[in-house]
Amino acid sequence: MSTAMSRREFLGRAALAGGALAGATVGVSPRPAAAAGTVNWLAWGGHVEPQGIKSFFDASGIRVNHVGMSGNAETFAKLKLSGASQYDLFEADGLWPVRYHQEGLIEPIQLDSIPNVAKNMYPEFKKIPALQVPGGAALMVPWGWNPTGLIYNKNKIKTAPTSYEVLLDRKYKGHVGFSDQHEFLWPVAAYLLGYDPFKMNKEQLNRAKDVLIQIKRNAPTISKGWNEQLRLYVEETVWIGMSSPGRALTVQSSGGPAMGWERPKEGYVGWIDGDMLVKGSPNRAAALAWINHIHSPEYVATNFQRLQRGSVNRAGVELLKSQGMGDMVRANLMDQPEMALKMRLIEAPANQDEYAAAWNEVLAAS
Amino acid sequence: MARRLLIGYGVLGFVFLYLPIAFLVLFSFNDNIIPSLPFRGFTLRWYRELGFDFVLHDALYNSLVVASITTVTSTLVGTLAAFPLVRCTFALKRAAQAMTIVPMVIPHFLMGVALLLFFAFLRLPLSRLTIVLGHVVFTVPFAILIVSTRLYGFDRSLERAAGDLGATPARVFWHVTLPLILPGVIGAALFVFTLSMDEFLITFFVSGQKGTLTMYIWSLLKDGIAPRVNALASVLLAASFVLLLVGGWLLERGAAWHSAQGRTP
Amino acid sequence: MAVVQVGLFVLPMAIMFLYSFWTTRNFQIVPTFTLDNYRAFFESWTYPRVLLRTLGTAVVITAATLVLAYPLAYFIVRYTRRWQKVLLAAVVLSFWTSGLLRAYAWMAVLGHGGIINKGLRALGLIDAPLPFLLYSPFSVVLVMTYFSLPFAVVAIYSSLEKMDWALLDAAADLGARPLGAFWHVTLPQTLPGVVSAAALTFVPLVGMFFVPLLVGGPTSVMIAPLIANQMQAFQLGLGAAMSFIVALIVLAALALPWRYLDLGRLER
Repeated sequence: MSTAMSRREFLGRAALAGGALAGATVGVSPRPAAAAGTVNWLAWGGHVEPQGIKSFFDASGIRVNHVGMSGNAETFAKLKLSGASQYDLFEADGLWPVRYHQEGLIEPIQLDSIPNVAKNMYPEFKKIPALQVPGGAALMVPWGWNPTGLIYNKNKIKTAPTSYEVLLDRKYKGHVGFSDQHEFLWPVAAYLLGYDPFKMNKEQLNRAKDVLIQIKRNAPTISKGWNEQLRLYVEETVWIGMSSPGRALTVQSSGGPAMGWERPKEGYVGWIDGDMLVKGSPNRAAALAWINHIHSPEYVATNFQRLQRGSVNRAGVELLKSQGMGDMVRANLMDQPEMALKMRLIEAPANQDEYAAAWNEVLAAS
Repeated sequence: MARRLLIGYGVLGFVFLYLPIAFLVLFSFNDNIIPSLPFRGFTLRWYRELGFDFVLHDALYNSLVVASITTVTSTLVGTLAAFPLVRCTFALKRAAQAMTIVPMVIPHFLMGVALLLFFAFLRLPLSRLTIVLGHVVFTVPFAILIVSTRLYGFDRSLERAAGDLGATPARVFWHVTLPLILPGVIGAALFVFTLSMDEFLITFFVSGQKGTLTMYIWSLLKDGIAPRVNALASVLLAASFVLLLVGGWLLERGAAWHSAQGRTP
Repeated sequence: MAVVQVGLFVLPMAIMFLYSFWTTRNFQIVPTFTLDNYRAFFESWTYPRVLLRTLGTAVVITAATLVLAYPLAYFIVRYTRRWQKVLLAAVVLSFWTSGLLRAYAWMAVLGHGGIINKGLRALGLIDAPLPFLLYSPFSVVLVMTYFSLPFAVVAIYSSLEKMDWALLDAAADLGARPLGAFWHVTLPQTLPGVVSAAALTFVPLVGMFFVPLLVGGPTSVMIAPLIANQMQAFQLGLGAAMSFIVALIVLAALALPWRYLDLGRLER
């Protein structure tokens, strides 16, 4: 272990290497500062299309700075505690925009004032009741949506399931999907018991919790993220679970078995995600220009082909159809916007603490 | 016999360490939209996609900057802090030692929120600096622990001898102490860099407009991690290996050069 | 450097300590002093039970890590002359890829359609995929050990590397068998490394939340996800209180061995 080289030598070489590295990083530093402005976009990684960002920059000189967000709850905590002033746009699912609006963090948008939205969006999505304010402005510019129903392996389950009860069936022990997303699991228990999914009180949560524990006992694991779920369905470990029709199709096209999707008779929830404008954003015009750009048919088509789910954008859907993606469009319900309005949108319940405590019980139960 | 067993074990050990990484690299060439088995064909398209995913480039750049500054800072602070913790006896020493461990116990979620509140209180805008500060907090304990390992059982008579020969404390440190603890310091630096690159929770809370690579990867969880992320990981791994080999070769050359010069090691 | 620690750590923690006495109703913090948060941890048997389970699992993983890491470090120190530094760096390098990606890769190795199952089936050794490889205590220990291994190897290497090997020769001359020599000479000499490795492994394990959730079964949830759930529900006070309780218990658990292994006698 002798340092045959004197310290000076070593440090000299290290400094040289370090300097070279630093120089290199400076040299390859990311895109040059934009001439015409920036948009700070806190968004899901799946909404980013590099080509779209580039074409926007080429056309307008505005640079879109994407910052990744990984969940509704963390993002809410962060923005509530420190304010949203560093961002111009951020995203959320379901009825979270209502919470953000209550916190005074967002500015509602007149959807028809954005050309591409006015032209291209399905009218159903322009007027989602829960996301409207008096005066007709929307809290969020919708982007994608998915209903969460039962998906099942057609080889292993011959008759199409119609009720959530199938998840409790002991003959499927070890083959039921159970994810870590509690906002999609509480509704299962709630619907089975006849409660309102997001307004359960402590009593009801107690009973709902028992239902979920029973389902959990049928599951091989608590799955985290779509990658894991996909693998479980493809390798036929999980035969039945909660997901969207598009994902059923993805399982099939990833080499998995034939999958079916059913809407449970008790009712079902879903999410619509989208972008919200930060109140007092310094780059307001640029932000709206970016929203305009992502609602162009080309951007929508690229993104929804890569990540299949329901789209709010009719022009994009038409484009996909014309590109020969009719099957995918139909499977993902992209051309049936009315389905989106039939589903109950997920929201954060008022008694979060009781839900969280109950969920912890579910997680910890053996 | 024992020797053969150990060598076999060593090889197995490295296989174990690199097994998932081998798969990671495999998936980056897999013609499958989700990085997973089955293997459906060889393709380079994820690497091509990587080429123009500017968002990913930005995120990587931010991660590297943050990790580099964190490494230098934490290693420095950790090394300096290790000395009094190992050598001096002072009141509340046990408490101080416990205090160094505590940041490792606190869940990152809590630390992230705490730092966020703290920075908001100080009216410090969130930026790469705040990310660095957040990373320094939780990596310093690791640095302290790794450097301390070198310090325990350190033969202080060497230092005393150097002092007796007329060296100032600074020279003693530079020429005697530092070289002997260098493996620990370098080990600490390597670890801090790794920890910083991979951290998500604290980073998310204290980041401003500059997101890191890990944040980007986590933001893909909802829709599915794209294979180009695996491609990036593979590229980074290859680059690190090259750096490693070059560094090792440089050290070799240096050693050879010195012995050729007739200097005693 | 104490300033840095104090400034960046103690102060924010002090803020959270304050929060731990406040509750949250409907996403608003209610700043009235209450001990409810601390009480809540012990109210149902859930949290203490899960914490105990977490600590138990952490001990097992730490032990496994030390047992696996020591020979590996030994191998690097004793049997590799030229490439020693490179091999050591290769150990650390295995960590330079995103932990998330590596965790997902492990699932590809251990899962039903994974390489181990596929291989065993191809060889005709089993008919159906082995269920215990993934989503079981086995996978939790295996993968968490994997993630802790590099830390332990580096810590032990640090200590091992400066050991005076002449001592081993002396022991051999005095008639000690290899195992005896190891136990009575090598191990005590490298104790700081082992202790560091143990601390570096055990302590972060308690706070780890994503990887155990990923590779663990439905009944092996650890304490960190539970705390995270509370924080996500904006129950900051509750999450803070729980975190402090957990931290205190971990420190108490560490205090015992710390006293026992008086490393002070190693400072000459």
